[in-house]
Amino acid sequence: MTLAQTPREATNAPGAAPRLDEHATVDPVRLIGGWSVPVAIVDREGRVRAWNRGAGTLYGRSEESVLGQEWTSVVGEEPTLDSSLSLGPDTRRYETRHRAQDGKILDVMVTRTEMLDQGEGSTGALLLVTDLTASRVMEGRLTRRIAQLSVVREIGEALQSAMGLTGILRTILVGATASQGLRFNRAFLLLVDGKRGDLRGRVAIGPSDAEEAARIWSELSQSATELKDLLRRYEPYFERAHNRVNEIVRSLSARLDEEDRFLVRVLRSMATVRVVQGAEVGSGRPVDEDLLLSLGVESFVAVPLHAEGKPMGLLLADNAITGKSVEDEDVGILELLGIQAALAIERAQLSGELETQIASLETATRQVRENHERLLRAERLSAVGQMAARVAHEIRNPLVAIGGFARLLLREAPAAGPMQESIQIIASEVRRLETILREVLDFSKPTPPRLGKVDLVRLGREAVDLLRWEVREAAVETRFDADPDLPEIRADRDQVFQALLNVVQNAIHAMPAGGVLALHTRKRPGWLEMAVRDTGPGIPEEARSRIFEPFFTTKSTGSGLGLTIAQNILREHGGEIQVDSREGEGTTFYLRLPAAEETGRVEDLGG
Amino acid sequence: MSKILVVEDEKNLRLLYKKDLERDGHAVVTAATAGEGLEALEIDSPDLVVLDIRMPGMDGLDCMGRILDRNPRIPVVLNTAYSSYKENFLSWAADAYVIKSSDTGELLAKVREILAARPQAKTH
Repeated sequence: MTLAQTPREATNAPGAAPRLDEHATVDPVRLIGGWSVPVAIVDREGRVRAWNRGAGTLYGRSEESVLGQEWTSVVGEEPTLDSSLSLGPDTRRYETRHRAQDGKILDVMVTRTEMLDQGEGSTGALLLVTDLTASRVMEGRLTRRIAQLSVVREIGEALQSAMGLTGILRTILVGATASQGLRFNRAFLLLVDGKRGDLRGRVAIGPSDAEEAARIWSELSQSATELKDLLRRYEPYFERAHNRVNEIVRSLSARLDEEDRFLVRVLRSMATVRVVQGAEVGSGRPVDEDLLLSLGVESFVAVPLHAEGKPMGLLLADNAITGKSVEDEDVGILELLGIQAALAIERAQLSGELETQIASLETATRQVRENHERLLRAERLSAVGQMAARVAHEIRNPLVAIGGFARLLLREAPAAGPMQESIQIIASEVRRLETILREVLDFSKPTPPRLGKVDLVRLGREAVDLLRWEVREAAVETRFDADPDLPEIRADRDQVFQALLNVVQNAIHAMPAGGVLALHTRKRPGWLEMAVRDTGPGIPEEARSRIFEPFFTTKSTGSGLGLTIAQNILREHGGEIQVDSREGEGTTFYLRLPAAEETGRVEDLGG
Repeated sequence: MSKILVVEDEKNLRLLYKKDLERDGHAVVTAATAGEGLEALEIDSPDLVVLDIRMPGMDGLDCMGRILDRNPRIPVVLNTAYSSYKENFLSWAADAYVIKSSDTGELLAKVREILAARPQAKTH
């Protein structure tokens, strides 16, 4: 205390400045010699005349090495603008920068008191140096803390507006590493996946090496001052999948039940853990080797992220590039960031769930609407169907009369004559018409097929033969082709014939000005297929999906039921009908029936 | 020889059934409406009635109800173009339900079958 008071007397009482004269009882040089406060005396020319212990300690230079040297060169004082504060006629104070022997820069405050002789001329000056470096550091830290806190606030705001989980994760990482942020070199984010029951690395940020670090940091610091700008400029670094830190983060994972693993332990403990030299600070517990190996560092911080007591993930940060030690304050700030991050992630996940629910609701709504439309269509169809049924009934009675009398005649006509044959044709054709009517009337309740062995090739020929008048009228050329050794099919002959007839008739109607009608019967694994091809104009694409719909027709004549009935018949047989059409080239219908050895389904229907 | 009443609004079908049933050895009386049919039931006392369902005026099911009111023992064969009436419980009271067809074989067979069973039923 007494030592500290002495220079204060020198500064606070400028009027009592020591005088260098032979009458002086105290030699100032000797007086200052033992003080731990750095003091030097310079002569009129500015050369060092005295250098005390405190100065020796501060500048790391002995008295001998500085005596007679220029003060400014000794302490490395640059001439400064006169910003000094005058404390009295002989005393002024200024702040400047000095350099110690070892090159260390010192922030100092110099109090200079002129030493006057009797004629009031200056004989030199006493320089009292106050080292401000330590307080400057404190001040700097404080400023940085304030800046960091404001950054955390800024990150918080950015998190609020971040779009989706990816945006949030990126914001967190940029916040943790940016020079405007928490200044960690690298940061890694791991998230809990509840469904998979694990903790997995998701995203990371940070340069691969010092060179990249220098480049990125300078690029970013030049261009971006706002966190928002920074986030935007960081995009390309995130997008680079082969980024080293991304490789690292993807290798980080642990099952949630692996409680011994460091990552799971920290997640569960919900307390930040600082790792120094491969061990947890505090407990000294060593960290998993493989984790240290993956990260490539021995020291880092792990901040668990949790929202409402629910563990969400882990934020790891280190200074792999600069090797700068992680201070307690840094950890505190990182924890603050962690809290905001956890809330933002939770928000994103909740909104993600909400989106899923909205999506499923939309799907449900769409299905309801579709069902509604289907119902409307079915209703319309049933109205049309009822009308068709009524018409069919009106036709049926006269048909019964025609056919019935034909049969009556048949019994009365002389056997085996041309008349017998003609009447037979009338009777059988009426029978066929009645079958068609029944199909139409029982459209919604198709009868199960009455199964028997069916020769599809022959049925095809018969169908074309029955329509020979129409074939001739339209000048259609017919072709038949069949693979050898066709498999047998068991089917309802009448029904399949009906289906074939409908498809063949459709093909002929497609070629009113002539063309080629080709029936090709082929073996397919497990199937027998008949392709009915025409060289008509083809079916317009928009109509193609509707041709099997009841009452859909592009022709001016026809019930619009032909292909529908054909489709129903094939389905009843466990088969299918498909269409392949090219506009301008023609249309091919494929009628497929299951081969006899695999007709389990048909047999079921038959039984 | 059994006497059969055919109630059928279509003239040609009436004729067809008459011819076919007569060929099968039955006596046939015909009626063009349900009302005529009920009259014929009184006058001709048929052994069996072949009844169309869909007719102008009173329909076949109503007519059957009245026939059975008067004579619950008389067999009725419903002969109709509509398979849907099969699901109408009124039609269950009929002894047979035949779908109209140019092939009258089924109708004739049913008539024969019912008439063959009838005398036995009468003895009980």
